[in-house]
Amino acid sequence: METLVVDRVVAGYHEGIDILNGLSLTARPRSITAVIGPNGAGKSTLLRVVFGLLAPRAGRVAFGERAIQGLRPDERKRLGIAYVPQGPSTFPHMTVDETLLVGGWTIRHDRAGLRRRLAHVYELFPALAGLRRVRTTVLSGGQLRMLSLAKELVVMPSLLLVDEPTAGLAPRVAGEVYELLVRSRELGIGVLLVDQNITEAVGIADYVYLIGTGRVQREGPRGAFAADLGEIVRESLVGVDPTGHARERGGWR
Amino acid sequence: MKAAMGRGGVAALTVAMALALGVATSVGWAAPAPVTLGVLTPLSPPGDTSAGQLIVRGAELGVQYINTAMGGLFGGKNGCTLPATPVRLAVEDSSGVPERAVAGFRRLVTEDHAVGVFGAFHSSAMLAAAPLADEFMVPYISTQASAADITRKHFAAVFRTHPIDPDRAATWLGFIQAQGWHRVAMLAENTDYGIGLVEATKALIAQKKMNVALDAVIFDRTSSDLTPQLLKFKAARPDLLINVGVGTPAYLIIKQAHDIGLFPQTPMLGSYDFPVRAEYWKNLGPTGVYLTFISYYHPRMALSPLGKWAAVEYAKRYHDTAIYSNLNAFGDAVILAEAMSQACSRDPRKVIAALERGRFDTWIGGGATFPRADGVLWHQWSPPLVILQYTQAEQTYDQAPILYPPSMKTGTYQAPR
Amino acid sequence: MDPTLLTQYVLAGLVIGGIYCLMAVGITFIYSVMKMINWAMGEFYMIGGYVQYVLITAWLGPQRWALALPLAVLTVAALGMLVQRLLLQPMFAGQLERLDEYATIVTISLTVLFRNLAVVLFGPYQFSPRDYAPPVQLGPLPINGSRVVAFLGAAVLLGLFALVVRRTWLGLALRSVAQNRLGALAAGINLSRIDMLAFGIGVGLAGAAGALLAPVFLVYPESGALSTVKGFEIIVIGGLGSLPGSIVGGFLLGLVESLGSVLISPSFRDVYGFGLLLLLLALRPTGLWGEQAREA
Repeated sequence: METLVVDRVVAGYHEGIDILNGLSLTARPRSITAVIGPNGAGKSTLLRVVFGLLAPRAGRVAFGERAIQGLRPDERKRLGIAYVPQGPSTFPHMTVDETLLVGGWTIRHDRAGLRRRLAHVYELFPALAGLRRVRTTVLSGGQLRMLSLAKELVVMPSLLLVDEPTAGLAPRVAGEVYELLVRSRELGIGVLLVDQNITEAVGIADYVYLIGTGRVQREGPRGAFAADLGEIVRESLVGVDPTGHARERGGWR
Repeated sequence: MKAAMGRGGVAALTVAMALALGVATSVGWAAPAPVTLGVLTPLSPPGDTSAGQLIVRGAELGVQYINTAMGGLFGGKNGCTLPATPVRLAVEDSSGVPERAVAGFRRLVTEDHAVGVFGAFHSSAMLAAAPLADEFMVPYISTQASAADITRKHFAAVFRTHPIDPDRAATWLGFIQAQGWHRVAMLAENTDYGIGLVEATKALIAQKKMNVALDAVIFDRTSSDLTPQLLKFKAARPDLLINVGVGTPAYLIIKQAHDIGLFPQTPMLGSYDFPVRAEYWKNLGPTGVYLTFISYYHPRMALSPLGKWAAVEYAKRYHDTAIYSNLNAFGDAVILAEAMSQACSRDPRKVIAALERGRFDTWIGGGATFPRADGVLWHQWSPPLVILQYTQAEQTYDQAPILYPPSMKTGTYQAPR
Repeated sequence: MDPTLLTQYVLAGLVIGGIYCLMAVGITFIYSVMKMINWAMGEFYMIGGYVQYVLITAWLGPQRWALALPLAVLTVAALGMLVQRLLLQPMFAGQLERLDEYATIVTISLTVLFRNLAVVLFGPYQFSPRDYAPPVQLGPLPINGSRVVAFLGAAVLLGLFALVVRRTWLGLALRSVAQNRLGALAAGINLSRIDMLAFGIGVGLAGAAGALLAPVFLVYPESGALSTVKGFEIIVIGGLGSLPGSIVGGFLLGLVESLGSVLISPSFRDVYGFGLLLLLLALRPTGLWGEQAREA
């Protein structure tokens, strides 16, 4: 199992506008690392850099011993990094079965292994097992989110990058999603979770990073955030940059 | 040898220097500056470059004839006391594109000082440049552009030595009557050429009150499948199908008519001489046998002494058999030279006047004239047309029998066995 | 109207329609995978015809046209992949962002380049290999053997294509990229390779149409121009991005053209397709099989 190290990464989409300004963090194996922060802090951008959708302008991304910032997404996937984007990552005209097969693309040559993995995924997601031959267009939002997650678990990654997995879901369904992330950790998968649902994310996390304007503002184990979690949530909800306040009060770092 | 070359070299250098200083004419010891004939023809795509090449060769041959056999222009001939003057050729590429033709014509007249221009092949290009000919009053002869408007618009300076629609219509209607046919189908492309031929044929049938029932259908030139139309014709069982396609459609009509068993059971006539080209047998193979087609030239036609000279010299110079494009371009060059001689002038306006008045020898007998006649016959002279038939696969056109006109007939229509 | 004649028109229309399908499927396939319209499709059709002609006349001989066909298709597909890698790949600035106008400019430039190249290499003339097979009597209609071969060839190729798309891993990857590029990327699919293959397969279908039709419609530099227009008509009729729509649209267009040109007038043969297109757009703006919108 490998550790992900993001080291002073600078990245952005447009010339001269950096979204990440020298961000550093570490995601340890077999643990859930939550990244929280307000909208526009660069959370999703961080995951895009880690999966290789966006090339960093400076800094280093390492997975275990290996620097991976020059690799294509499919190469990173083969190293054991999987990515569940915030938007849909399923295929409207495919059945659930076919979607999971696509998820198993990188291990397609090991037929027996793939079959075992699919069976395992259906065990993890019993709700999907009954929908195997159903087209994904008829699935509910929650089922689609589950399917996106299931699709990335087919290859049994060592690190799962998850972007806002419960945005727009009913609380009951959201709960199921978090349960599955916990279940993944039990299976030995490291999770790097980016979330607006701060309370729940921190609730399952082993280690938490609070980021703002492209930098880590504060980090620590879950317990370190328990005291002022309410404050962070409130500030994030009203859209105030929590970091600005924080510095004024001199409370953080 | 070496010394001679040295002297020649010095002489050439002197002449060049003199020319460079612009003293040649003022001093007066140089031979009269050659008269320039302009050729404006398609030498690059989208124009028909092979036609352009053939026309340039014919024009080169014409210049050779004027400078050698004729001994240049003037020099005492016809009582013209101007000094004997050679001609030279200036060639411009029209690409078959109107704008390029206009630019080329302008260059020929303003830079090369051409006294006459010929070589047109694409009607649209010629029609675009024709107003310029009137503006400069420089004679412009259509070597192979056939649109009616070229002469119908009565441009003061525009002439033509190529058959027009009524010539073609008269030829095939004469052939149809000679064969005793009555029911004629015509498949014509939707271009000026195709529609013009349909109209000319209808007009002539009406005018001469011929006993010919014409079923003419215009098709879209860009469509590649004519099977449904041909099936309809097949059901009507005409005596003859006239194929008025140009280029690709001409071939498609033959192929598709053959596929459905319409041709050669029903005779077909090609409206121009595309079967003369080498691609014909390559593209059609045995399918192409029994086609009859209009041709502007056949070696059995009675060539004038001028035409015979051209045919012999062409074979010598280019190691190939002269065809119509060569001969007609050759003829145009010589006609311009004759007009200058008759006018005893290199002034283009006087050349135009001479063209309207005179009679000119060309590659075929009878002499060409360009009267100010009515309608499309204005400044128009048509060489004779013949109808040939391929009777065997891979036949060359000079081996094909002439079916029409009766005066040149060397064979009768052969139906498939 | 004489029923025999009518049957003949319908048959003629269906044969042509079957061949139109190849073009349309190629265009719609490239569109669905790469979300770009390949305006140079007709030129790949034209190149397919030239390659087939050269293979037959210069190397294999007229008897071995069947051997020339796959070679011509592979040549065109390889050329397509080369074009994709060298000229179109840069369109994907990042992994996902596309520069649409870039693809349009590149492929329109390619049409000019390829046509002029054909003129330079072969001149402005028409070429045609000999017919692939003797005429076949299909009910009341004698049909040119090459057309029958082209129709059957189109059917076989479309069948093969459907098989690959429906039943193979490559097909699964192609479909996933067509339906959700990000989702395919997350699954570890190498998008640039799939794009290259998709472009190769798509233009390969056009090349196959060109090679199959070489003896029917002749080979010349402009031969692709019309087939692109027809391909797009069919796609609008059938619905953009729909493979079954392309096939039904192809047959419909063939029929409408055939019947329109005898029942109304052949001068407007190419207008009937547009008429059908306008009618359909009025009744069903998304085409027969089209959907309101697809996720990007």
